Amino acid sequence: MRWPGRRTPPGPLDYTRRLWMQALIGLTLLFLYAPIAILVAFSFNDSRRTIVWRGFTTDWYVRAWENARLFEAFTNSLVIAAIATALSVVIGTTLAIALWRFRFPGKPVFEGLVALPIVIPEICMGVAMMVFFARLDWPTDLPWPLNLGAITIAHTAFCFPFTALVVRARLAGFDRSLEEAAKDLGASEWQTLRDIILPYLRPGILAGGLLAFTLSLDDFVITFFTSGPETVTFPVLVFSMVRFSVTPEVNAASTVLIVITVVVTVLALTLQKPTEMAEGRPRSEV
Amino acid sequence: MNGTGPTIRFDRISKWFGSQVLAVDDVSLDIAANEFFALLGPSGCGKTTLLRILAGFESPSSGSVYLEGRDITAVPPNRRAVNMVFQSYAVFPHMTVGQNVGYGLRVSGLPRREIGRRVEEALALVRLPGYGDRRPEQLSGGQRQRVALARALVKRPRVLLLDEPLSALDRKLREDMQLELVRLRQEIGITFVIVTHDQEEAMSVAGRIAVMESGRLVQIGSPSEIYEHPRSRFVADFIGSVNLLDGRVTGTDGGVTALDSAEAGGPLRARLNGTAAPATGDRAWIGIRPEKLLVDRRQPSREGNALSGEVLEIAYLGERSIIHVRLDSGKVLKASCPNERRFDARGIAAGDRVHVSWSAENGILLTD
Ligand SMILES: Nc1ncnc2c1ncn2[C@@H]1O[C@H](COP(=O)(O)OP(=O)(O)OP(=O)(O)O)[C@@H](O)[C@H]1O
Ligand SMILES: [Mg+2]
Repeated sequence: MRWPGRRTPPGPLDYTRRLWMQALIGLTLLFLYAPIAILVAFSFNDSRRTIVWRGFTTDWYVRAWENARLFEAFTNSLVIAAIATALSVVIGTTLAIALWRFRFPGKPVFEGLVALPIVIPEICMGVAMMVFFARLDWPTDLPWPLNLGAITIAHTAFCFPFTALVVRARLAGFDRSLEEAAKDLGASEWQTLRDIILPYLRPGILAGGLLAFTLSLDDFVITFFTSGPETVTFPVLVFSMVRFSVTPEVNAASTVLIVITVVVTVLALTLQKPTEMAEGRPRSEV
Repeated sequence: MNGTGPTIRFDRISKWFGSQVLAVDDVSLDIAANEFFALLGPSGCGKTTLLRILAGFESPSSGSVYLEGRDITAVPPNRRAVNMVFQSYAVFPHMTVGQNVGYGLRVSGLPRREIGRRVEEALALVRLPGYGDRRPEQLSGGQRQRVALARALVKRPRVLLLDEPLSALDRKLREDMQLELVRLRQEIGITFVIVTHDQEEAMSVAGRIAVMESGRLVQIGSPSEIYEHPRSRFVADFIGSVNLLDGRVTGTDGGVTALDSAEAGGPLRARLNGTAAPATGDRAWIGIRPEKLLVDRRQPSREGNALSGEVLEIAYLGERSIIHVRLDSGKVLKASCPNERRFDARGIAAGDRVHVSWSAENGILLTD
């Protein structure tokens, strides 16, 4: 309906028509993405200095690739993130299911304890980890990739509570009658878990895994305290490099990291899609 | 297998939830082979709990459950030859219709070919042939219901349990599905146990009905037994509607008990139906179904009970009208009169003085 000569008031979802709203959205996007855009752009800049644009080049990517320390730190980060993610997914999912499924004495205390790594300041975790590994006399001269063990363990320790949290949130919406229906049809506990509960949890597990992956990949504080001279990760190395100056090599490596993260995220989202759609449709009954 | 014994026997089953809630209270019940049995009762009376005890999802606090003579009280649900259709259908959302129906066969390790054949068979049985590749979210509520049915039936259980299977469907579809259930049971010849709080549903599908009230079984019988011969005011009131007149027994003569009722403003008579005569002086009620009341402006000539009053209002329901009559004592009776003619030939309007009558056979004597 339109009345001539009168502006129609915006509907509840129409506020994007307002100029101030558009400006606000624009500014938000600018602050979010401009730094990243600049980082990516300057990784192609044909100049050592990062301030003026001198022309396009892919040299820095080649240089970054050839920089042995940078390359090593980069692979270290990816390997640690991959292993820590896998461990976090297994431990976190098991934990979430156990907490959802079973009642046992001291359960609230236990629940609080496993959520602790989420709230403890990272710096404390870092120091604690350092002291812990020193106390254990954790060997530091193992061959690659075993020498990444300490960092991987530390990363798993602070990542899996997040995975457990996400999976539990998903479990909270689980319809128990699905589980009962499976058992009623003759499925054992194990078959029910495999055929009904885990497929239902898949989006949660993927999201939790993604969270663990990114948390591990860009962790600085805890890694800083658990890494040795042989086991430098990308964030730690970048930190030590930019103390002198930001080189386009770092820009190039960062861009690659961004691309990897984006690709992993998109992959996870597409994997998630079929089940999401299956449940996304509002059901008229029930 | 014991061919003559009941298919299901509940033997003194009780179920406590915590120490406060007694959901099922000392229920003993036999259900015969090939019976269509309904558990009927108001919300919270323990119907679902009793059904879940039979399916194995709850274990009774005391008592035993027998299936074809075998004590199954301790048998887990995945090893019982009973299958259940859940109120929410519980169709697995991440599987196709075919995978849903075949799931029970898959976990029991049947060869793939055999599964495919039996899934098609089951889908045809519930009138969804060729729906195997659909996904559950592409189905209507009624179709999902059928998938849940097929999924339970494909296992060829001895007993099929249905927990309010039709409550989420609209009225028309519900009536179709009721017929469908009756047809299915006749076709495959197994025992059906259905839980419902809808008395019409229970009466239209079941051969025998157990009425429950706060965890106890209060009456078991065929639909007509329960409707025409309820044993308590609760049953009479829960199944259909009933007019109750309060009184005191003055004596029994030739199978007819006389009652002195202040609400009726005089003596009433009701024929006993095989039940013991109540003691003189006891409190009792006469229950009369609305359709058994005759409302007329003229004094009834026949023998029986007749009271006079004034028409309060007439509710027109299409195939019948409900006439509310206030007796001289102030008590209001409801009479259901069929509308046999298109133009009102009854000649009764609100405010008219009328006579309400019924025979001694049509009054139900209730002492509880
Ligand atoms: N898991 C449970 N824990 C505690 N109390 C329960 C549990 N399940 C059922 N109850 C209680 O037991 C009683 C019977 O419940 P039940 O589900 O058998 O009722 P129902 O007859 O099926 O009712 P409705 O028609 O509403 O489904 C209720 O008072 C209910 O609150
Ligand atoms: Mg119920």
